[in-house]
This record gives sequence, C-alpha cells and structure tokens, in this order.
Amino acid sequence: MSIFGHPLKTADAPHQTVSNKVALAVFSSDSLSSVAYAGGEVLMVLSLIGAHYYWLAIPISVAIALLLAVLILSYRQTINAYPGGGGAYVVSRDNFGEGVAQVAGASLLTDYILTVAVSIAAGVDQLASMFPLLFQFKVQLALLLILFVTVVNLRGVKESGKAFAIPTYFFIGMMLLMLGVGFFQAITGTLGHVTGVEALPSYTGSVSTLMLIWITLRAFSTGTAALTGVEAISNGIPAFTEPKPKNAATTLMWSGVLLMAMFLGLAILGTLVGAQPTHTEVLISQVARTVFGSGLGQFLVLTAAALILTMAANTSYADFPRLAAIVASDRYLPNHFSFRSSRLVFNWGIILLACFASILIFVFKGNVSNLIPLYAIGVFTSFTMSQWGMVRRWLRVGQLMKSGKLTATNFFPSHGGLLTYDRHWVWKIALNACGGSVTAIVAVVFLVTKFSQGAWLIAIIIPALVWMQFLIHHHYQSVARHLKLHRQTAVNKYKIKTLVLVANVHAHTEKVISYALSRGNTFQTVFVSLNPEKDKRMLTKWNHFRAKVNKSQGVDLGELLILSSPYRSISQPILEYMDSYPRSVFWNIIIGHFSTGNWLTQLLHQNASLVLEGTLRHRANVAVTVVPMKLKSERATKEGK
Amino acid sequence: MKTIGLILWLIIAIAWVYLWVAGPETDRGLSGGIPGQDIDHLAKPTTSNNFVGEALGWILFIALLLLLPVIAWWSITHFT
Repeated sequence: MSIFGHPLKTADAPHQTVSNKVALAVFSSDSLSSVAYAGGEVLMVLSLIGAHYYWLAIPISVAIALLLAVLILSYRQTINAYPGGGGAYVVSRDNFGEGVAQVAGASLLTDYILTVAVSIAAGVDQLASMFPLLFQFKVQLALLLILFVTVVNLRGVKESGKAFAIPTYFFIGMMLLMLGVGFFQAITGTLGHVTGVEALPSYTGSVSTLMLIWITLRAFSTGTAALTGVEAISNGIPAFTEPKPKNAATTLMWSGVLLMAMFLGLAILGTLVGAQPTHTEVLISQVARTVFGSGLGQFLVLTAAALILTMAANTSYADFPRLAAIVASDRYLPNHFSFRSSRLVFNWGIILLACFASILIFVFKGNVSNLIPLYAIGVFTSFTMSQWGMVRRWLRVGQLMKSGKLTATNFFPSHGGLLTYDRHWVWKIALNACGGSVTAIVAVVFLVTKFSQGAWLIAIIIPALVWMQFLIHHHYQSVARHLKLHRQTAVNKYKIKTLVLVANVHAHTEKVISYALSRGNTFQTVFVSLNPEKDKRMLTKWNHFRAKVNKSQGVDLGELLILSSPYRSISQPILEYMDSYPRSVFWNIIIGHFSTGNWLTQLLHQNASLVLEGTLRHRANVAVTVVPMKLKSERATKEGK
Repeated sequence: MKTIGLILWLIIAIAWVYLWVAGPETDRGLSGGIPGQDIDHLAKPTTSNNFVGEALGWILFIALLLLLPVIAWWSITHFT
C-alpha cells in the first residue's frame, strides 16, 4: 500500500462524499480562518486616520456582514441552480458563454493558489510567534506543511476532511468561548482594557471628509478578505452526501452564520477592549489576553488560530482540483486535470496546486504581508461575474415563465445548470444585482488601493492565464477537427515496407528475426554502420547466421543492408533511406529492446530503441514495433526460471 | 541550526521527487466525463434529511441580520 492509500474502484465514487459536519470543516476553514487576521488588517488601515476612528471597525464590519449575507443568499441560489458544482465558473459559462467564463475560472484558480500560500505562511507565522526558534526555518516549514496537506489530500476528500475537521471545530469552539466570556464581562462591567501593546503610530492631524471616505472604503475592502472562502461550497457540491444541493446550501448557511458571528463579535469586542493595530501582537491575541489573561486561555486561542490558518489551505485543495477538472473537461486546461487517481481524487490538480503555492512561498520567502495584496481580487472578480450571471439567468427564467414554456411541473437543462420555475425571480434579480454591484465596487477599490503594493501582478497573471487557456482550447479544437470522421470512410490498404534493425548477431537478434518471420511479410534487415572497421565482421556474422537459419528452417533472411553513418547518428541514415522511397510507402520498423528489469542497470545500456522510437514516431507514415527481451538475473538463470 | 535547515531542504527535495514520481499515476486516466458532474437526476425535488439543522441555520441567520442595524446604530451613538 502506498502512502496515498489503497486504490478505490470508480464505482466507489458516490461513497467518497462527506457529511455536512465534515464539509463545514473542509469547505469553510478558509473563510472562518480569515477571522484570525481580517479584523486586525481593518484596524491597520484605520490607523491612517487616527486612533479616534478605530470604532469605525464596527460599522465597517456590519457592512461586511451585510455583504456576506447577500453573498450567502445568492450562493444558495447558485447551489440550487447549478447542483453539479463549479460556482462562478459554471454560472458564467451558462449565462455569458465559455469564453467569458475563462476569466472567472482563471481568477478563482489564481486565488486558490494564493489562499494556500497565504494561509500556510500565516499559520507558520503564528507558530513562529509562539515558538520563536522556528522563525529561521519559516520557508522550509511552510513548504513541508504544503507537502503534508498535499499527501493527505491525495488520500481522498474523506480522509482529508476527517483529518482537518478537528482543528476547525477547535477554533470555532475557542472563538465562541472567548466571545461569550468577553461579552459576559462587558455586560457585567468586568471587561478589561488592552495593555502593554506597542501600538503603531497613528495619524494625529485633521481628517478631511474625502480622506475619511477613502480610508473607510479601503478598510472595508481590506476587511472583505474575510469573504474569500464563500465561493468554496458552491464549487464542491459533488463532494456532499445526497441530497447534495440541500446539504451544500445548509452547510453554506451555517458557515455564513459562524463567520458573521465571529467576525462581528471580534470587531465589537476588539473595540470595547481598545485593541491597537500593531505588528507585534495580532488582534485576536489582544482580545484573548484581555478576556482570559496571559495564560492557558490565550495560548489555546492562539493555537487554534495557528491550526486553522494552516488548515485553511485545505479548502483550496478541495476546490482547485474540482474547478480545474471542470475547466479541463471544457478543454481549456490540459486533460490531465480531469483524470482521477487511484483514490478518486483529481491528483494532477492537487499536485499542481501544491507546486505553484510552493513557488509563491519560496519567491516571497513566506512573507504574508507581501502576498496579501495579490489576494482577493480574483475572488471578487468571480463574485461579480457569478452575481451578474445569476441576474441573466433570472431574466431567462422570467422570459420562459412569461411565455408559458416554463411551468411548475417542468424544467429546462442549461449548460451545467437547470432553469426551474421560480415566482420570486424579480426579487432575486434585485438581490443578485445588488450583490454584483457591491462586489464589483470592492474589486475595483481593492485593485486601486493595492495596485502599487503588488496587485499589478495579478492584473497581469489573470489575463495571461486566460490567454493560455484559449491557446489550449485552440489546440484541442484543432485536434478534434483532425480526428473527425469524414462521411466517406478513408480506410485504405497501405503498401508496407518492413525494416528490421539489428546492431549485432546474438540471442536477442534471433528473437527479433523470429518475430519478423512470424508476421509472414517480407522484410529487409538493416545495420547502421557507426564504425566502418567493424562492417566486415558484422557482415561475416550475418552471413553465417543467415546460412544457419537457411539450413535449419529453409528460410532465406536476405542480404544485410548496411547504412553508413559518417556522423555516428543512429536514426539519420534510416530516415534518409526511407526518404529515398515515395511518400506513399508506409514503413514498419522493428527494433529490439533490452529490459534488465532494474532502472539502475538499464542506465548501463544505450537504450537506442527508445531514441529511435522517439525520433521515428513523429513521422506520419511510420509504425514502430519494439520487440522486448527481458534479461534474466544470474540467480533466475541458475535456478532455471 | 544551519545543518537542520539543510536537512529540511533535503527532505523537501526528496518529498517533491517522490510526489512527482508517484503522484500523477499516469495510467489512471478516466475518460468519458467527470463522475459527480451528472446533474440531470438532481432536477427532481429533494427533501432535506436535516430539517432541524437547516431551520436552526435560518433562525440564526435572520437573527444576526436583524441585529446588524442595531449594532450599527449602537456603535454610531456610543462612540460619537
């Protein structure tokens, strides 16, 4: 059994699903983990207009919670309308066409890679702040954690779900406990104040209305990083147990409720305890220290935060491969992404995700601050496309209902979705249009405010990825055109010439010649002369062998054709020989191949058959036949096996 | 410490080689669509087997939504 686990049958796929409780851990760890850093980031931005305005974190969090509510309601509709999963990509594909959908696909795929890099780097940061000795191995630890999460995910969604459920629920439990105790202290008047924090210097000058609006908008867009995981559940619906859409919608609702409660609760409690923006202590730590004191309570909250930040990467591992598989099945990514491994997971997607995230960690040296500006633009682009896609879908539903074609008893299948009767379609248009407008504004604000800090890179990467996807699609379309059967069948009989390539006369030559003779066609035996001094010896050996075969079998093997190779190339003389014949001739080249059964000893041989096969297979009128000869080991020969 | 760092790099390199050799499983291609993406059967109305969980989710969601304007009003009046 490999470290990836024993193979599963294709028929086992329906059983590789997860319950709502496990799914909440798998698909929501990303969004829930953002509670650990998003609030602190909002305070950092507000420090630009002064400590007097820190309280704005509460109304900003209310606005973010409202946007989250709109997204939850909207994505519940998406789940029901597109029960096969795929989220924004499938919504865009169905309503705007495959071309436009690639923008949503590329945006989401980029963001999933960034999610892995950011969450793993943030998790290692938390661990390093608890155990400073680890700080010098930050990059190595992050890369090892990526490898660990990758291997667990290659074992299957069920296995990874079980493994990562505990840290998620531990975090939820610790957060709710901290908020509960904190609010109880606030009500009873026993809540303390943050002390001993080396706060960042905040602005002390006068604040104009324009500056206030700009910074508030910037703080709002920074805080919306907490919403980046909302898309995850709508992407991974096939991973849920039946009834899949219902279970996915319920899990999304719970994920939203928990995120809203924890995000808002932390913002309010943070303001009440007078939390400060600082590089030395995260917001969650300041609140935990004030509520529980510097002891076990604070340690447990920070441990839970470190664990969930690391495990948040798992959401991307659940979604990136699925989305890549759907895009690949549309022929916009290599086919490999839609292949399932022995554990029924999309292993190519998992490995590529790990590879790109590792490159990001290595290049950015695991620095979260450098990675954050690249983050969230992709998600908000896909949110916007998904919302406006749903608006278009409701318009189609409305038109079909008005024309009487769509009734309560029927449905219309669309590209990856279903058009079903819905008498609330007008309200739903309003909801999606509202959500789409807000997410578009957030995407623009995010891009403008973070452009110089690195967001420009994403503005290049996403279009480049879309362009690459179109190139891949163009290639697959061209292959499909070539493979298309014509009305008139083109099955013909070729004039075949067979060449048997020999390098010497020995036991393997006997086997290759025996194979050629068994086919019943005439053939020409060819020897490529690399050293003219040995030609005569080879010719003598061949004539002796030819005479022996003739005597024992009554078969004439014919003259040996010696092709000289002045530049010692093995393939060139054969290609030139073939070119001396008309192009209508179809060639069958028979080559022998030694197999030692051991890759190390195989390296001791030239393996010319592999080189020749590689060169000849590019010719349209050549079929290469490799006759293998497995060399027995000394032990097997002695034992007579 | 430098040695530990080097050992960690070595482990990472070996793990990546193993992952690229064993992970792709090139003989496991599966043509003919992606299992789980077939959605026609989902057109039938389905009932949730988790009514309590769904109802509770809705109650909490609505309660939080109703709290939002209250929290916003409280923060504005309390801190200004």
